[in-house]
Amino acid sequence: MIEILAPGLAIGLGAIGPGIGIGLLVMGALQAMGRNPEVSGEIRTNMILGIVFAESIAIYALVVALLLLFVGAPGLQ
Amino acid sequence: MRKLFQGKNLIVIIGVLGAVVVSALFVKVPLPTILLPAEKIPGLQIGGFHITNTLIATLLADLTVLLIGLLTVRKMSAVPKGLQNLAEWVFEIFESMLTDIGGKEKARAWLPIFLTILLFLLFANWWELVPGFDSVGIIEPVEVAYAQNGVSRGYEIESVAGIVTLTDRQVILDKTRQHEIKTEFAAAEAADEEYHPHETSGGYVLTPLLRAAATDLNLTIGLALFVVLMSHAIGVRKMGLKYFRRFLMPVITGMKPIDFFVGILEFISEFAKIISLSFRLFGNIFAGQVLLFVMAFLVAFLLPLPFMGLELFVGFMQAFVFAILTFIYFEQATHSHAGDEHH
Amino acid sequence: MAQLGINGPFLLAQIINFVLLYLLLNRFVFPPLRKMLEERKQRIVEGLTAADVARQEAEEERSRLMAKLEEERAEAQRRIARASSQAERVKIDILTEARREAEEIRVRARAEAEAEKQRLLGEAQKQIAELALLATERVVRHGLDESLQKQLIDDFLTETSLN
Repeated sequence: MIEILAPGLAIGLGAIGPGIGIGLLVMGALQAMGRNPEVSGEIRTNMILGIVFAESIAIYALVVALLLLFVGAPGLQ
Repeated sequence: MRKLFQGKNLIVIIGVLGAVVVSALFVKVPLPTILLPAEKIPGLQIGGFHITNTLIATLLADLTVLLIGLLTVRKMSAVPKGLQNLAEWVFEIFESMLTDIGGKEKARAWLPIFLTILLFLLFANWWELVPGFDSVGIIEPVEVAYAQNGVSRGYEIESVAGIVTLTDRQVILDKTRQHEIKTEFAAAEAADEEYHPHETSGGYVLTPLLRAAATDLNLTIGLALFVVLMSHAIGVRKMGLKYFRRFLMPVITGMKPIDFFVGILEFISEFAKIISLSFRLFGNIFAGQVLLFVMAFLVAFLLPLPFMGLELFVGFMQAFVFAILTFIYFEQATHSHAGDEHH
Repeated sequence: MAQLGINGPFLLAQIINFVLLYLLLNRFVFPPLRKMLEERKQRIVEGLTAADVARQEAEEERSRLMAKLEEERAEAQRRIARASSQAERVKIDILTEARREAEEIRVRARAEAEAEKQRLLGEAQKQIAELALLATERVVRHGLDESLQKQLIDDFLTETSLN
């Protein structure tokens, strides 16, 4: 049971932070775009980069989840 | 909008919805085996090297990019049309984007590698949506599949109009049977002969001939490794051995605690780059693939369509992100210290 | 690592694959594309410069022609003025001449008429004298009675009125 639960929790909990982060990031970017539409191209590029960096946190959680799921944690089995 | 529900349109809509309902009730799509490592294709071997389905998909993507590229430059004229127009548009839009980020000189120097990564990953990801990917392949007994790829769940098969397909009736190998197969297979390997199970359970597994290239960690990690190593090479070429100072901050500045941690962080971030680059691409495409599997498993028709659109977008986005991060890593490697010029 | 499907040969194969793709694209696809774009840019720049030069030349040509036209117009104006003044002068000349001639003709006609009148008057006097002579002669010949005298006068008057 715990073998299935562990990876699920890993990715599930690990995705909360990046989710909120990406939300805040896009909110800020969209507000900025609304205020100065003339630089929206630049803001968009930087927004994507910010999303990517926030997303990498979730990626680490994904790595842990995949390792738990397919390789297994030592001492669990 | 009002005309949407009139006349012929109404018939078409009802027909489609009917087909969806009928398919949801009667046409059951088996859930494909979700397997992290790329499957080795049985019987396809070059010099003791088992070819995997993702490798074939990689070559397919390579060929697509090359073919389109060569078709574009084959007939070029001063007044662009068709493919050439598109290629020039792509070329210029990304060159201006890179110029915004890193300046004219760097954009010019690294645009080719940027575009190569972008186009290659774009086609590698989009090929996933072509019918036949993940669904056409070689059917073999679950025992063989277990020995080769570690698949323990098979399906019964049936023949529809001469085409052998899997049904949705599962056959699962239990733990003792798995152990038996393992020992048998090891013995066959040792004797260097092909493995044949001495009894079959009637379960079969489909090994697809093609599987999205980026669902293989070898591709994504290989690409990430290449990118990060290239960025180091660029840094060394720009600054000589001084480039490595960023990792040796503690030694140079006489062990101030903060510099010690900066040096360690720089060092760790190099590995984090590889991991995040490769697993971002892998995770997104793999998850997309599984999503499409599950949607097709739930309702075979219509339901997967919006998700295919989503995957189209994700495929482009991931290719773009990988390429732009490559450019940014290259760009960062040319600064004397990562924190000095950029904040 | 094996459970994740990572293995050395495949990793290497994928890297080599990618490097090959990059080299091929960088050799056969990107340079011609870049060359084409640069050429087009060059041509556009050249075309724009040429257009600028042409426009400037046309502008110069135009202003030159305008100046010339202006000059010609002024010249024509001058000529017209000169011609009209000349014509005015000619008109005045002609008018003066005509007036002078008319005056001359009138003077001459008046002189002629005067002369004719004088001549006619002279002639009439001469005839009157002759007639008086004739009448005197008749009277002298017939003697004068009253009736005769009366008739004579009538005759005379008739004769003179007949004249």
